Amino acid sequence: MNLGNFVQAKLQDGSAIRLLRSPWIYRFLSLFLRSQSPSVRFSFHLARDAYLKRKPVAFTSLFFPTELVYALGMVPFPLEVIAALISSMGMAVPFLKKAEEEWYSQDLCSFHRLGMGLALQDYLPQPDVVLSLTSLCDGSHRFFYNVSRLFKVPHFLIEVPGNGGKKDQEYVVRQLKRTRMELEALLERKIKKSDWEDSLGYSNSLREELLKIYELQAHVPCPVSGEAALGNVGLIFTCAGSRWGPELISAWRKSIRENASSENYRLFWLHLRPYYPAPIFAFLKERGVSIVGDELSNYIWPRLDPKNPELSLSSKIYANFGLGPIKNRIDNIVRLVRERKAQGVVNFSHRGCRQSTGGAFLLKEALKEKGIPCLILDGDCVDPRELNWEQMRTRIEGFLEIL
Amino acid sequence: MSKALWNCSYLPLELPLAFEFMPVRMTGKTGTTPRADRFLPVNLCSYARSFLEESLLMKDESVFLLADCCDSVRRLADALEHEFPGKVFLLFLPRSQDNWEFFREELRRLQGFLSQLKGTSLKDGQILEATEIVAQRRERFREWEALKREGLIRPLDYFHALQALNDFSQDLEPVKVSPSGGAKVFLLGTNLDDEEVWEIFEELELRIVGDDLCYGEKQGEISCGFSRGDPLEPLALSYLSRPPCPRMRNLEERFSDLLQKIEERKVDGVLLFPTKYCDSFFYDLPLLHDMLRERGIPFVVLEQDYSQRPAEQLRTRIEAMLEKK
Repeated sequence: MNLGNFVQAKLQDGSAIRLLRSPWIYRFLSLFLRSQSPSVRFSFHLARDAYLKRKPVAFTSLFFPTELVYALGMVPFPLEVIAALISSMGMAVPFLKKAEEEWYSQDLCSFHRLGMGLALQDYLPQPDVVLSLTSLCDGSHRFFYNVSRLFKVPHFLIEVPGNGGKKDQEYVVRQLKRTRMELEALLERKIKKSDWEDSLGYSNSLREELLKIYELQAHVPCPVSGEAALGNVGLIFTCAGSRWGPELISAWRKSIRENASSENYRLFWLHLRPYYPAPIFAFLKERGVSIVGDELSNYIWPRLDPKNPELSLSSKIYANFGLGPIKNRIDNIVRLVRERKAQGVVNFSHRGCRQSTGGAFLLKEALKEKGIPCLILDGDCVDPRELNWEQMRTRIEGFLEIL
Repeated sequence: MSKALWNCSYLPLELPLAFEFMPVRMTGKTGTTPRADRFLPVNLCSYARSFLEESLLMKDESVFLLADCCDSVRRLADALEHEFPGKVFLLFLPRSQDNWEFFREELRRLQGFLSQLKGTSLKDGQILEATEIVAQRRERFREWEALKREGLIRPLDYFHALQALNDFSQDLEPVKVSPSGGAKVFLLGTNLDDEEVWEIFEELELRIVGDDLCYGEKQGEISCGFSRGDPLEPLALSYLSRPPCPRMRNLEERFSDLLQKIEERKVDGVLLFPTKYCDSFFYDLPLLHDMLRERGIPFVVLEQDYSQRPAEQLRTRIEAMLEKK
């Protein structure tokens, strides 16, 4: 039995979850931790703190500003990111099936379905609270509500309306302040000035590191692996506000070899990627395609000011390219395509995603008017049952030919 | 009078009416959507796609007033704006009444939009006049509602009454009272605009004694007061205080309200009609399933997809559910 099969078997028979909740396993693994990469060490600390309840646990949605979570001394447990991780280990299907058996329709976003499957199979740590934003999708609000109901813990929801005008920002700031105060009361812990300084300071350093990576992405040929950038999306949003943030992104930057091999095509990626084992990135590499950026790892926010934490976090929330009318998203893509000297765009249309997939045709037409070819690739980010690789490969080949 | 086409019963119709627009709810039409397919993919809410298809077929000058209830509607708004620039308004809808002040300001933004379209401002009392008209129509609807709860209105008559209530170009005619001894059912779902479905209810001699449709019974529960001050204040408060739908925040209130209605009306079964790709309702489904099963209330889930005609199995499945009772 190989290691992957062993872990899969442990996950399926429930013994892996006993290991995750055992202090001994963390003591044992910590012996080998020093030689591991920062992302492994970060994941280790996150799992240990959450499963052993060393800190209060907050289930978080992808775009929830984790700076607030860290300032409160909590550990974020990002369910959509965990779903991607489980999928990348080739273990998504049993959890997806569990959710479907419990009436979660196959038409719902598979990140959320998989998260629900994990919750229903008791694979998640017990949270203290559930924190989510309405951005970017409606499914997120209901998924996190249903999770909070299952675990019988409070759900704090920040509604993010409109475009980020003054009235919208004030509305979000008010909700952030109210949420912060309610969390402080619940946890019996007040955020001190120094907590904000640490949390927002780390986030600012992470931001600086990201900007350096963006510069590298514009190089011709592009030395940054697009697959790695898409793989790091979850990490970027989970470690913002933690001391791990700058360290992780700095390690990523240092791992980039500046002398990249030559490239035949430069493409910009929209939405997320398939996380389960799939041949797509090996195929793109073979054809000399560089993914010179993607929307999500290129989500950049203004510098955060510890003197105005909630206003800063509101600005970070409103830096999201997907808010407001689709024109905002199109403008952002066009800017990034030009900056990165990309020849075209691949829009990975995640089947259950209404907010992104829903705008795919409008987006394609708008990009065409700007002279930017766009390929819509229908698929699913975490459910491997939706992969039709032969069809996908044919479509990619056809697209590369027109470039 | 130009039409103001709307999508969601959280949208206060008093405002377009005050500006002399004719509020008409865009109903879902069963069939293919070749024009909408250019803009919206198939895995988007079939009501939103139908809305777009109907809009692209229209010849008259209308405005589109959309509450941003979901991702599908936001993309629908993008597509409409593409085709009808300057004629589309997307109203941000907070998810609980705690945020009514923000909603009031959104209504002010809507007022500004309508004012700009008409090239005129509202005169004193125009909103109050419109409020009075809407209140009268709702009062008439409540009278029917009381009869409907007793099972005294045939399904098709109720369907036509709902269509008329939501289309201000139609007068509200008195509804026929037709006692029947058929099974009592409660409808849960978003929108159910296909007349053929209601014909099946009729053939099965069902009595619809309650519903939680977007534009149904809940509308009768909006009660807008009058204010000497800002007329938008009572509008914002009353619309956000009505029983919540699945996209809102106060969901515990929603489930207890639903359960109370279902139990009080001693139904023989519950028909759940989620519209295909409606995420909010599909997240309700597991919770509703548990709630109904725990109490031994028979139910059946019948997906509503405007791109397909209602299947014959709809009849069979309802019959099977009722046999369980």
